[in-house]
Amino acid sequence: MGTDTDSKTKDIELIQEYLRTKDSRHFTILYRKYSGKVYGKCISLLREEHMAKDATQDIFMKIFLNLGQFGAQSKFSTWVYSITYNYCIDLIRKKKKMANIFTDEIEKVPDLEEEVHDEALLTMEVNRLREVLNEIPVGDKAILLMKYQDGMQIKDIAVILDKTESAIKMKIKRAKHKAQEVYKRMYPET
Amino acid sequence: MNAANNSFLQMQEEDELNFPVPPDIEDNLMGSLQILSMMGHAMELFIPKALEMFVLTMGGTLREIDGLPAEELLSGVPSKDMDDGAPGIGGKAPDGE
Repeated sequence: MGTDTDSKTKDIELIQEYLRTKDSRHFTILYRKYSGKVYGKCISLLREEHMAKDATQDIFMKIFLNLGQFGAQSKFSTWVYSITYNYCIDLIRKKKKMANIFTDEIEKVPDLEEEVHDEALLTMEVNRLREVLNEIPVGDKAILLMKYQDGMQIKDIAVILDKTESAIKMKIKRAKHKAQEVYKRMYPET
Repeated sequence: MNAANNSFLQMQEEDELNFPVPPDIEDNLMGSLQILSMMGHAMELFIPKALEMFVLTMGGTLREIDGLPAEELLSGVPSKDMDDGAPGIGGKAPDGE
């Protein structure tokens, strides 16, 4: 927790220093801190290295151009990842010519069905988890990454995806169900 | 939660190792930022001058350029200097002619 707070403070100091001096070295530090994770997310969501490379460059350009608007209400990492997810989701939507990859349609998830416990996903063997995530819709994958990889709060995800908190809770529940169904289909022996 | 008991975090660490960020992204990005920064500085330097030139072109005051008092420009009355110009060149005729 202390490390999180320290990191947040350092990020904010770097941003303020950059805005004051316009010295690109401050931005370079931020870039080097987050580029690996941003690039990894782009690879994971877009699944093509050349697209991920272009996307990472565009995302950091957006971050640079909007740095003055970062209000520090949330962690800088959350802000960076929200730009990353929104950029990748927009790109996928344009590529697939889909109106919305986070559909609001009523999906058949029986209410009585047992809730998938977080541990089922968190303790899944890494390669299997990767394969499972590649099999479920990209919107579900993104929402699971936000929750379990980036540790985002429901309210943060709701803001990023412009949905209500209850809608996000439902989407996470559905995404977990889909992941478990895919896992059972792919690895029936377990 | 640390990576030891979170497969999502382990996956992230593996992805970062398996897919290192291409170094040319940083080069391209910093190049673009430098160009943007230079353009910003250039704008800061030249926009005030460009605005001044625009004002002059549109018939605005010349006061800042050649130091003439503004009221003379507005009234159209010749200044003292012009009134005392060399004989025959302009202004009043030389004495005795």
